[in-house]
Amino acid sequence: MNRRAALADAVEAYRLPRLVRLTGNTYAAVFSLMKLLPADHILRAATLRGDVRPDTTIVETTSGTFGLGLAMRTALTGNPLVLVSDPVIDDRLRERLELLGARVDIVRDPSPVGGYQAARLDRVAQVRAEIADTFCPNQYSNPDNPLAYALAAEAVAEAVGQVDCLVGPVGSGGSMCGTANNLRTAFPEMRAIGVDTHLSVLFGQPDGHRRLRGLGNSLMPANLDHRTFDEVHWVGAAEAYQATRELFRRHALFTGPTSGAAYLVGRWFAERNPDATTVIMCPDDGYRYQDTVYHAGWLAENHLLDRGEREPTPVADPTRGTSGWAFLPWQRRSLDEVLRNEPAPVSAELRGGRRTWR
Amino acid sequence: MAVSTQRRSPTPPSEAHPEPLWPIRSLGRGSAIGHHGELLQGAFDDGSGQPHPALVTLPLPTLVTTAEFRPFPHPSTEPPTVTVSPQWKTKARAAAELLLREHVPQSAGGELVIHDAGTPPGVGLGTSTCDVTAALRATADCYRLDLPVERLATLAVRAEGASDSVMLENRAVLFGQRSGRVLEDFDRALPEMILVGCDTDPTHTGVDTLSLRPPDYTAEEIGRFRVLLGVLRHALDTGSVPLLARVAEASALINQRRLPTRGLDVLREVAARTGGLGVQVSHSGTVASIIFDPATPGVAEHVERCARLLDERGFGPARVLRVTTEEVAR
Repeated sequence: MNRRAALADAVEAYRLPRLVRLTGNTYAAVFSLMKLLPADHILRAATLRGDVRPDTTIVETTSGTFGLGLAMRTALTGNPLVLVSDPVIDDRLRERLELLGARVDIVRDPSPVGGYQAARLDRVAQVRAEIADTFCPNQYSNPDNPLAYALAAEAVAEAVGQVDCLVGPVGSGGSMCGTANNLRTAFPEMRAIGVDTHLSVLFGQPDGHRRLRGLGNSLMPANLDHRTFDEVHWVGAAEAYQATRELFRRHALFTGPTSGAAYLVGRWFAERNPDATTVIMCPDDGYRYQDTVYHAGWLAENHLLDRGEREPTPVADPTRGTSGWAFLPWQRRSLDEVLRNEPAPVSAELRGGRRTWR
Repeated sequence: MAVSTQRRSPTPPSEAHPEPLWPIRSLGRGSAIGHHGELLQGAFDDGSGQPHPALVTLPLPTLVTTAEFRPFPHPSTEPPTVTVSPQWKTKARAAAELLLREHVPQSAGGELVIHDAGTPPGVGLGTSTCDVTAALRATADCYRLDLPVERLATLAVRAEGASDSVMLENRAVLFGQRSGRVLEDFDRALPEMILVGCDTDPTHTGVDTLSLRPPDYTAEEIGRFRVLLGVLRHALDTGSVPLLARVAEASALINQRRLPTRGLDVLREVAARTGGLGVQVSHSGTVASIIFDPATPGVAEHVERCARLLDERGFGPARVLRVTTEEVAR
């Protein structure tokens, strides 16, 4: 066994996943705060390139955990940080960000065209115009976001060895595309299953109000490479919350609802393919959701109890929207190829006669 | 104290023939084992922010080079000179002279003889580093110097410009071929493997490893090497030949754009058709092999079919090599 040494700092302590065996050869890759990995890597790489200097102000639009990751790193490096958000930001998260020294800039009014997203981007441009030396990490299009996940892929490979199937939620595209493409360096035939939610544009659905947060998107991020995915699932809040609670009850893993969504799909795949080594990405821990996902009264009030579905329904055309738990065999196609219903290109790797899964 | 009494001459040295500083042997011997290229070669994050070129060698304990060193009368006030046989083993001579200059005060030099394993230099079997390592060991043996392996690695790199980790025997390490530094000691021996080896370019005159600048890998490739290191650690911990073969083939594919192996596609196809687990190459040479697991039922037939197919495809003569974990007697 390796000897344990003290960790360099909190970023090192929290950025990598722990690999936890659930049953047989099914593992959870458990992060405390997954977004810390790209936040740290993006700033580290920009610092090495000279784009971030000791006094450079970091400016980003975020209402979620990517901002927390940035704030943890800038608390250690001393760079000023401005996070532009809108009124939906959770008060406790805002308090943590401010304690870490971030300036949280709330956009009060949505833009007439493009809503809050557009108003936030306008505000970022305004802040950057006012400050001489700024850097915008841009998690949705910065290629250092998926590249950061080479570290996660290394941790998975070191602990588990061969991976046959990787399942995880998709939001910016960074974690799933980055982890899957890196693992495919050694395991090119590995199946990648992306988990999205209804009324998210990522895999072809119309945009709309989404109850399940932390995955899905209203905008198409440049970092999402659709050709990564063999299969895409859409999961609603009821299924995801139910599965989150089951993951806690059965395996004592206290996670957020995006982990639950991935667990729902990962468990289904693993039950059908008991010989496959399956890894389920669990992006954050459960503390932020104690008043919602882990609160039976809140679930009952919101009619989210006991609606968990056990089987996904296949869909042919995602543009019509989905409900419950739905899936589409994506077959490593581009979004256009899927929407035009074109057949999957047969790759040399998959022709190799290596074992395929149900 | 023991060292100083050993080194002090019992009688005052005479003018013409001063006593040596410490007793030396009339003949020093050393040896080194070769390798069959690498399991992994790339650039790795060593924490400095700058990628560090490094490799994991696939040692071949059956490929042994020996060296003998006979000292000229000792001591001398001139810088040491070494003669070498065969004469073209100039890197081995340079290594012996370097060791004498730095570790043996007043050495006159000596006569170095190398008996190599008969493998040609430049094909990627570590011939040159083997000569250098055996020469360093023979010279050190002559003067009863017990040099740590890290010191041998540094001297080898300085004599050659770039080196591999043959001085570390069959210990699996991530070795900086230009820095001489061990970046990671996996603390595990390699599992037993069968290689069906060939020279992918027999007409080639050999690669001068020194003339190859380490490639400028992209950030994406450096990330991929990191993942392969993760797979390699798991493979060594569990003794998994299939996983090692995956690492080797992935490393060959990434480097195909930088240090291309002729016919890599054909080798991969032959491996897929004969139950081979993966293709392994010498990244700065021309040898390559298809890896088999000795534990696979019917492996002998697979290996035979593979060797035959390689011959048919113009990669003959294929050789069947065994990577064993046994210590090699020298």
